[in-house]
Amino acid sequence: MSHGVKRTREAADVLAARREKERSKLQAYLELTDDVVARKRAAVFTQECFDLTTKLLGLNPELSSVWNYRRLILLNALFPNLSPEGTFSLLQSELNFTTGALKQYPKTYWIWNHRRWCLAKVPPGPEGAPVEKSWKRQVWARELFIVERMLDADARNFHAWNYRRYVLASDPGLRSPEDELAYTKKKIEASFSNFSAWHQRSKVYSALWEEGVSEDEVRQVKDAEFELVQQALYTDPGDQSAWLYHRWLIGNGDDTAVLKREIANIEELLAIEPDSKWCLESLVHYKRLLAARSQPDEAAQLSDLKKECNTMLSKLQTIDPKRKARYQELVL
Amino acid sequence: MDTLPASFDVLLLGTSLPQAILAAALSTSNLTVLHVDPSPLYGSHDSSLTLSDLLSLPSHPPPYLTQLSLSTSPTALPELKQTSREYALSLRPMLIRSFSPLIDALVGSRLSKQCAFQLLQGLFLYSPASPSPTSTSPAQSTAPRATKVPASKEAVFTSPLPLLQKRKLMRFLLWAASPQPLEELPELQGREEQPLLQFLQEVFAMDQEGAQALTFVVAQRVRTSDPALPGLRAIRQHLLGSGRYGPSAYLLGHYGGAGELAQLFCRMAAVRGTPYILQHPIERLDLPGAEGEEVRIKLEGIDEVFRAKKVVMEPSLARGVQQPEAGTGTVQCLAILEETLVDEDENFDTALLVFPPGALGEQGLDRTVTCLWTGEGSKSTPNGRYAVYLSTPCDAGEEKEAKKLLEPYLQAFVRLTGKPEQEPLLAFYYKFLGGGSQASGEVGVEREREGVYVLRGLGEGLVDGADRAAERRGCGPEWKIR
Repeated sequence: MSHGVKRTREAADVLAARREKERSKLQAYLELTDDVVARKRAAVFTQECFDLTTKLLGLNPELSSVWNYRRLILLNALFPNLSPEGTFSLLQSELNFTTGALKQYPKTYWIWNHRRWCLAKVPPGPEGAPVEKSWKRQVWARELFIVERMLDADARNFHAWNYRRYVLASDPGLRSPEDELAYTKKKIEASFSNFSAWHQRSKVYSALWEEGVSEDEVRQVKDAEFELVQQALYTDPGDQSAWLYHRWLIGNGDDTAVLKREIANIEELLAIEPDSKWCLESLVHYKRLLAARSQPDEAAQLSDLKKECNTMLSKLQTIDPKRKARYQELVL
Repeated sequence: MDTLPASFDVLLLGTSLPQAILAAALSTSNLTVLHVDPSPLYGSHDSSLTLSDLLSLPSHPPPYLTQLSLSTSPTALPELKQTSREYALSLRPMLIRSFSPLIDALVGSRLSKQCAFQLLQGLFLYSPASPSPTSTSPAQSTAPRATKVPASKEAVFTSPLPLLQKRKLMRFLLWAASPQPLEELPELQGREEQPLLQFLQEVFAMDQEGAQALTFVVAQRVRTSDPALPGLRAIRQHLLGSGRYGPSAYLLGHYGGAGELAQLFCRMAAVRGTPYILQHPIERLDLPGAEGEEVRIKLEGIDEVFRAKKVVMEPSLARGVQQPEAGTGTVQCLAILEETLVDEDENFDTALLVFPPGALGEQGLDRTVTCLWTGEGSKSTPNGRYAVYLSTPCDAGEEKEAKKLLEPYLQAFVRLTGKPEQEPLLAFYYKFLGGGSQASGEVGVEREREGVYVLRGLGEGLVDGADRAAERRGCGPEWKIR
């Protein structure tokens, strides 16, 4: 469907001629579909059938059962007769086929599925080759290249970020965590209003810290990240993506020293941006975390925290009336 | 070869960029056009020059240049002569806004496919040396420096400015870029004529350096008294232009910019049938004295006298018409250097540094001096060399010559480069007549009398020239480019 293209009234004979041409096309398509489906039902797996699926999928790539049939032919008829080299070569031409299809239909799930299936089927090899020269490395490197082009075109495409994680998980040798951190930093510096880039950063750090890193090192890294995100918060306090990352850095607030420090920083920002919804929202959240960790002998501080939260919550109700009920719920 | 008709509808004198665009526009109409230029090169004063072209200027100065002073370092001269053709230099460097009538003209005529551009990679403000404010510490002064001016959200985010200043700057940029017409913004009411510098400091609490950066670098204002409203308009244009072709609001044409573009427009006209006669001086030009009379032109070396119903002249070729205030123009310096500014380990091939008014104290001027440099990236120079263009407007009453005015600025710039001790391979100082501060702008083609038109309002500064070349104000419908 094209936007902005006016409906033109066609002359009756032109219309009739077009319908006739379409009818014969439709006829051919239906005949082809019937043929392929019949062959599939009969479980016939030959090169001829394979070529017919190529033709049919070229006309309509959303026929999921025809993709299935294609894969069955590959598994039952084509792969068994091939050497690993032959298999790899055939898979490469399959990948090319999907690339062409994706250019026309970038959102069709079945094409992406077929691509993933092909990537998973790449055999180990060539014999004796080091990891950097293996077929697997070749295809995954190419996938990464494609996804990076997609992210250059649109850095906020979360499908592409998802696919990137899938590629990196399938071949971890492609990018070191440091490389990945540098890549996310580059995307964030280009435009920090990018939830996916910040999110990826948090994923990389989480994976790194899972392997067992000293608390000191984690705190050091987090301090540097707090500095980075603070630049974003001051540049645009209205941008939610940076606040989300900040909240991830705080975590559950166990480190009360950091919690207090960040509360002070945000209060400074609030002083010059008194109507900033995100400042108020975050301060309420962080002060509640602090309140939950207050010691029995800190009754006065606890009472102060509650008062401050409630003042901010009533301010939020006026600034953000759509979420009035939520702020009312949060009152301590 | 076809013989030329003796009579044309329009005669164009001079192939500078505005004239070239006009020729291309006229070639799409039914009017017959003859395009003449005594210069041997397309582009006239906009043409791209090789180094040899430049070296021969002092001996045969064109009418629009005065106060010429060219010197080369003796060791460099052989190299310069040998690599002459690798240079494409301009006497009036031109930055093109990413949203501008010139871009529209290039895209509309499809000539954009035949030319390429380099993005301006950085904007810098010159800060003079400052003594230490405290009296207890020894006389510790900060050296003069060039600070990068952030003018987009991304640039502000990554800049080394303190947090509070980032917030103030962003707040101002968002206000300036809002979709509401500037005249309606409440903060501006009653302050439109106030100096922009003052406005920024009073209304947005900007510090002096921040206000200077916005006024003289982003808004490209010339004097401290320049008013707020036009300045804010320029800032808004800058902000909206960022991002169209990349993280910058300005483009510089390859191969010398204006000269290359003038050639393209002329070629378009020629392909569509406009005859071109270059390199023949004008022996005689008779303008129509009464209604119905034709323009007659006789060129040296050609017997035929050509006639035309109308003539459009470039200011420097205009004769028999009233000229604007003689002596106004810009003083400029074109220098060739080995190395330019290095900022945080980043090399800038094409960028702009602005010296604000008073930057060099008594040695300097009370108005801005722009310093644009470009290298291999815009195919203006061979590898390892940069063309540096200094420029500032100049009234007729100015006593000091071009070299005296601008030499301190060139020296100040050289001291900021990655090789502060370098001697310029070449330094060419000159005054370029015409253009200049016609801010009240009669722009486009001004009708002198029946059948006679003169190009006016070539624009002041680096950016105006490009905008005005393609603007069509005050012209009849036949001048429109489709």
